[in-house]
Amino acid sequence: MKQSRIFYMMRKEFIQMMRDKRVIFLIFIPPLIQLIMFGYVATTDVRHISLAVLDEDHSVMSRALIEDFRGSPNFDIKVTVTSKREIRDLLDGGRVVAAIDIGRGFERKILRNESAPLQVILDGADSNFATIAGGYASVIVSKFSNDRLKERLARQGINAEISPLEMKPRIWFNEELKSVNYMVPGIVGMLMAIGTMMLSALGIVKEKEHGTLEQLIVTPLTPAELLIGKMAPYVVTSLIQVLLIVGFGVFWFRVPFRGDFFLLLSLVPLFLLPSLGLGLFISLISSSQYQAFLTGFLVLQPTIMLSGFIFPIRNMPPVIQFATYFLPIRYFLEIIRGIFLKGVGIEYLWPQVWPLMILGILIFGLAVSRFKKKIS
Amino acid sequence: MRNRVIAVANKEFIHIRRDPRTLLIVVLIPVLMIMLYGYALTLDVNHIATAVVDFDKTQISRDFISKFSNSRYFDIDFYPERVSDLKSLIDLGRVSVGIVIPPDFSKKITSGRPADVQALLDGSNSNTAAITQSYVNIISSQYGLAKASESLAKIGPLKNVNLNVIKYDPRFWYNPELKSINFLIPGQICIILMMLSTLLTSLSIVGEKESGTIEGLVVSPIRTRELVLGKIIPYIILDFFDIVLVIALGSLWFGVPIRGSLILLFALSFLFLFSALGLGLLVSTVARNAQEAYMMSTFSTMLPTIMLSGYVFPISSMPVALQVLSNVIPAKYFLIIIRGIFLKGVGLSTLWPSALALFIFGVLMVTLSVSRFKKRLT
Repeated sequence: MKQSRIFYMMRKEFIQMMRDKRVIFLIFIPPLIQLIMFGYVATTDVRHISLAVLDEDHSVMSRALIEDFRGSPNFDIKVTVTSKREIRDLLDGGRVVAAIDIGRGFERKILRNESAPLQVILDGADSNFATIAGGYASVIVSKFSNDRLKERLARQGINAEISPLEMKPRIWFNEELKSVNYMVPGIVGMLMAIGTMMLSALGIVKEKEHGTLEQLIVTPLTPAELLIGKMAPYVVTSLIQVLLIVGFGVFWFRVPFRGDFFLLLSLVPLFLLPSLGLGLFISLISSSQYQAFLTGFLVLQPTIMLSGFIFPIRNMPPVIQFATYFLPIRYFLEIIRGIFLKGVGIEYLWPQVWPLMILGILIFGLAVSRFKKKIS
Repeated sequence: MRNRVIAVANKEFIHIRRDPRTLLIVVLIPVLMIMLYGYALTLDVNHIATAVVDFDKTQISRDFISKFSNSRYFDIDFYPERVSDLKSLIDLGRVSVGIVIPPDFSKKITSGRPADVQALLDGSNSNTAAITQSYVNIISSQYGLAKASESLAKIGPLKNVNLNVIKYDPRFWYNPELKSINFLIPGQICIILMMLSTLLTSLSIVGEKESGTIEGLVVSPIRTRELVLGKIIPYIILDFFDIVLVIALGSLWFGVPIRGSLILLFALSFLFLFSALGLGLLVSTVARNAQEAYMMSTFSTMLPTIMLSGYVFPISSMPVALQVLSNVIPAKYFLIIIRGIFLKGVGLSTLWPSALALFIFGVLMVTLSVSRFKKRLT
């Protein structure tokens, strides 16, 4: 292996890459679009729950409860209705996703030592949204109910503690539960997977299409030198992308970066290895750029869905959970989220690092040996 | 005119039949995607990995812990001795919630004083954490209430006080068991259709451009309108086959209920196909080659469709500017329609605004691609 030959090969690749405007587009535009999309859109935060209110009691108590809902940052009272029929129409049409129905005699029953009727209706179609919204509603209702119970007991001359259990939730790593904090580290992993794989596959297939791969093969370059030279630009561009996203994430979206930045940088190549290997594989089985795109798409779709990027792996059925152990991106997402949000060091990341390393060597090694066989 | 449209459609059919890749995309991908995603993708939060640090170690604290282990939401995997062990379990990602019971727990519970229990949650996945938190709250407040009434009962003359101030009755309509699959499968159907339609049509005209056969079409007596219609018709038929396929799999295999009219669903799917295919055609009039067509359909349709249509991420939680932008995403309207018919069982009287939007969008897309096509040819 000669350094100068690798260097010339790299130089050629860089020049070619810079000439193709589409590649520049591929390097800078997707990360930015994705960051904006995922940073602003991919929020599973449940806020502004549109609420319809039906107050059949028209009393001080019912208005107090409605005020509690109005005062909550999670609910937006959209309409006040006068019949149950209207609630049905509003929910059917999707104009509101929640409704409270305060029955007649609400106040009288509270004052008279009875159970007052209160119905909360939630659009369950989006199950997670409904679970969280239902949780918010029940917190408001139980606080209201506890206060009334205290008053009721006080009227009997009893000063008792109503809730003998104080649950104090403490949330680590993402105290305000902001989705963006979870998404941005994930995007780094996603883009690296997509970018390096697609670009390296296309880079090689392009040479195939133009017939220039033959020319490269007859030069004194060894297959290893050829590959290193070919892949180096993609490694560099991925690193640029990582810096871009991390910078944007930290300074624009204010995602906390608690860990060691240099640890992250040193683990990035570990993930590049399997991505480059896959790209190489794709280039071997595709004869045109169109085919490479299609194959890449077919590989990426399930990879992204099963990586844990949006859908938690823990909730998948066991067979599929097992399959995810063979996806390098799964480990990398854990690593990058660990460094970003948990600020943990290598001693905690080790269980993710070694499988990633093995997979990387395996995939890359296999791809290279296939490549060598093919060109010799 | 009709003859010429049929001729173009016929020619397109022959192309499709000859290229096995297209047929593969049409049949295999929808089935694979809906099977894989139907099984793999769930937003349900069950079996949360839990660790409990019990400093009290009494009958009462164990009773409290059993409230968690008996629910289907929590799997208590570890009983660490120290809080620091709990912390490293969370750091390692082995558990996502830890419950710490203080040493004086049973003493305080029996004497009716408030006992402090701490729940430590791994918040890195904000969504899972929020749901976990609400489960923890529900279980502990139920326990607290039960204990409160026990200790109040001991005070004595309370038999005439009703502790149930409010008969709280939450109902979840449309999806009472709150299964996320009922939410995701209709969305998945919409995404698959959108993807196939744009991918296939955007490649069809570009393919003619690349192979140079477009010149032949241009010099023939066909009008642009006829050419575009003839190109769309075969894909409408193929896509319609896909619609039947994925809807059948979703409802028969995954048991997602269809509460509304199936005929209305098919009829409105046509409207959606028109906008999706029109969009694909528009892309292909702009793109010069397959690669560009692919790139453009990914970034102009796929990504916005997945992100902004309300497929997973609720539109109401987005910033206002993006909420406005979501109005030009045809999938948004189709999602309202498909979820409305599947889950809510509503009819045209409720869905007409979305149907109208799809219709306008479809007409606009087809007209636009016809006019773009004319300009390019002259």
